[in-house]
Amino acid sequence: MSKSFSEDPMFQQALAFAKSPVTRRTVLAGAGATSIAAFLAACAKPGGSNTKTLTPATDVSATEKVVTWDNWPYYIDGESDQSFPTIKAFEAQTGIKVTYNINVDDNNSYFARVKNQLMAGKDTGADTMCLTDWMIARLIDNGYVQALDYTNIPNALPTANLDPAFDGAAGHFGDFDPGRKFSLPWKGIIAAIGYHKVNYKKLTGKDAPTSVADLWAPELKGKVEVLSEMRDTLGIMMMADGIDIAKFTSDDFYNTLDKLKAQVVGKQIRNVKGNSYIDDFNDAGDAVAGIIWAGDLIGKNIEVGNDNLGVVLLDSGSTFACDNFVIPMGSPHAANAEKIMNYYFEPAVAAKLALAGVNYVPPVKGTKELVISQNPSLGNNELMFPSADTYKNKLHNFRPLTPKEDNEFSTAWSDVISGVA
Amino acid sequence: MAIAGFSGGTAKGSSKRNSKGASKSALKGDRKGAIVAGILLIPGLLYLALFFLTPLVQLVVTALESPDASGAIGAYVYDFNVQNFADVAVKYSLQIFRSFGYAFLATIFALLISYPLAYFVGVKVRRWPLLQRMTLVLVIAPFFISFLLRTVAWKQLLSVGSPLLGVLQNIGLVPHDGYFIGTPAAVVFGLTYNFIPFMTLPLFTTLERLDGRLIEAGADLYANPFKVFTKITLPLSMPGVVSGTLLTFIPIAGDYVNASRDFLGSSDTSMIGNMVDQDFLSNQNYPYASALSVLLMATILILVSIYVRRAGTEELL
Repeated sequence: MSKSFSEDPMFQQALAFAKSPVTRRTVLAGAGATSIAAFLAACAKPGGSNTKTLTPATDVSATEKVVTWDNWPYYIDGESDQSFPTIKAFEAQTGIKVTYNINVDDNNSYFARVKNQLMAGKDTGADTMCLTDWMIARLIDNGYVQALDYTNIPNALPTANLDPAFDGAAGHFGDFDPGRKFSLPWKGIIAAIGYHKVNYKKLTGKDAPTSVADLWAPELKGKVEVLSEMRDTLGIMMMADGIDIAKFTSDDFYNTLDKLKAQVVGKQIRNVKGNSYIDDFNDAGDAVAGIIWAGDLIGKNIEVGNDNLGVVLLDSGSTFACDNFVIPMGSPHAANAEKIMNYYFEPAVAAKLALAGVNYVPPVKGTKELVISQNPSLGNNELMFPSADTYKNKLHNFRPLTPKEDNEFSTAWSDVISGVA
Repeated sequence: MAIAGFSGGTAKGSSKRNSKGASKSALKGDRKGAIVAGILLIPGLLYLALFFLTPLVQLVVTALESPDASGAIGAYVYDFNVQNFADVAVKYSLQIFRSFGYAFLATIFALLISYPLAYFVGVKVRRWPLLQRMTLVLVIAPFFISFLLRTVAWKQLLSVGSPLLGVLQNIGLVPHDGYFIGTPAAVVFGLTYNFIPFMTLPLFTTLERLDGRLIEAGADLYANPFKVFTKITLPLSMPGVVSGTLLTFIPIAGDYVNASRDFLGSSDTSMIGNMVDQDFLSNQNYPYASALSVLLMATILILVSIYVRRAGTEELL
């Protein structure tokens, strides 16, 4: 077999689940995801929106030197062997014990798990979590998250290390949170076209795909995979049709969705997946090309030690989104959470992550220079450190959806990818 | 069941005594027995009320909710919207049909694989208890490993370029440029594999008790082995077959791991469980998810009732 079983992300997640110690907290916060959350959600006051104004929980950070952080897979150094060097260094430096949980593999399902605690302003089990822009916008709008205290996060001030591209000013990333009052960027994610260089050449005779249309080449039938993240897959497809994703209409959305559906039904697209797609981009060729997250492919190349996977930033436009830190109202360790944010806004720490294979865009000024000094090709990689020109011309943000659109579009989307519609 | 057991016991006792006084005290005993039975039942009833009845009622209540005026994601209000049931039955008709189809196929395959296996362990190696125990452990041992890990392992073992897929391609079961993971066959394969012990163990417990002398007698009466099997072995093992098929069919119909796009499935293989998962966690359409769950439960209940009525429940286990 061409790949090791242990590399499979689903395997890693299942293994982590099997290995995770059962504590009161994990039982309440994590394991309950399946049944208890269902029960609680059913018991919750219907209506979804919150009527009472929530206030931050009493902060006991000074006495309880702990912080729990929920994050996505592939987002920290030493994840595969659970060594977490930068977290260990933070613990040694501050005396705060960090529980790092790879608990997020989808914004919606994560939200559904903690929704009732968020609505009630209760502890969700996580003091901070990193979720994607649109979900963070929803959390802020509903008043589920605390305002950040920048006295604990001096590194993330715009005057310090926060990259201005992410400062939340109008037209910049994070504009759902002007002045970054409630959220701070963790990593930027570029969705683009990815391909396996050798297999792509073998099948199509061409060196690299240059457009979305190239994915629909007959030679690639059954070898294309796209992301289950609606905003990325449809965003890229809409832009390929010349639609501005900052102001598309409902018709634009459904027309593009129909195009995707045709490719799913026609089996051009073999599968629509979340993070586990990366394992299919193997040398054997389960997937040869598709819509992917750039950081995953760069990371996979570094991990495997070759350069087999390529990423193309489309001229028609790629999507860009951020995962952002927030602190839920019910967190009793807000100050500790802010300290860990502060720590990751040190360029040296951000550079360590980048060099250790966390290949997503760091929103920390000064990281690029540090990475260049140690690994020039990585530091000069546009996919990790996009230039101002790339930001402006090639990376675009999916427009915010109204709650009603969010509901309609998400349902239409999941119906197509699960073969219902 | 417990009440029947208690009162049945005392009734038997009272019939043996004939004097008036004795029957009076038996009556007293009856009442006492009923009270004791009632008290002993309280924990069980409370448990059922709390962990079975309450969620079930909540599920039905949720299944009847309607979207609120905002139409926002996850926003629903209490209502009596029976339409939800019709909506999900129509919208997910393919997935419902597919779930029961897959469950039927996987149960048949599991039975075909498990019967010889259980026969071997329960009858053939009966004379060597140590060997019997070892073979039984061999059947069960893989299932000490997490269900998820085993399923992901199959995803790897059957992925493109794997030797196993190569064999399937060489014998013509899979086209040479084709793939297996993500196809309905892969999902049925995974379901069959994952539920084999639930079929094997009940079969084993009935076959283990199979009286070898009856088989010998059948042979003495000039029945050929096939006839011995259909007239003696199979009827005697029917309780195991019935409970085995129930123990596999019911969970398979509701399974959502094997058919998931992240495991052995694709957009082509979604089952009811995947739709409940999607409506609950992604779309936050709690009424649809609940209505579909209730529908799944009701359908299974009806199918199982018909099946059990036809097959008989005597000595089910």
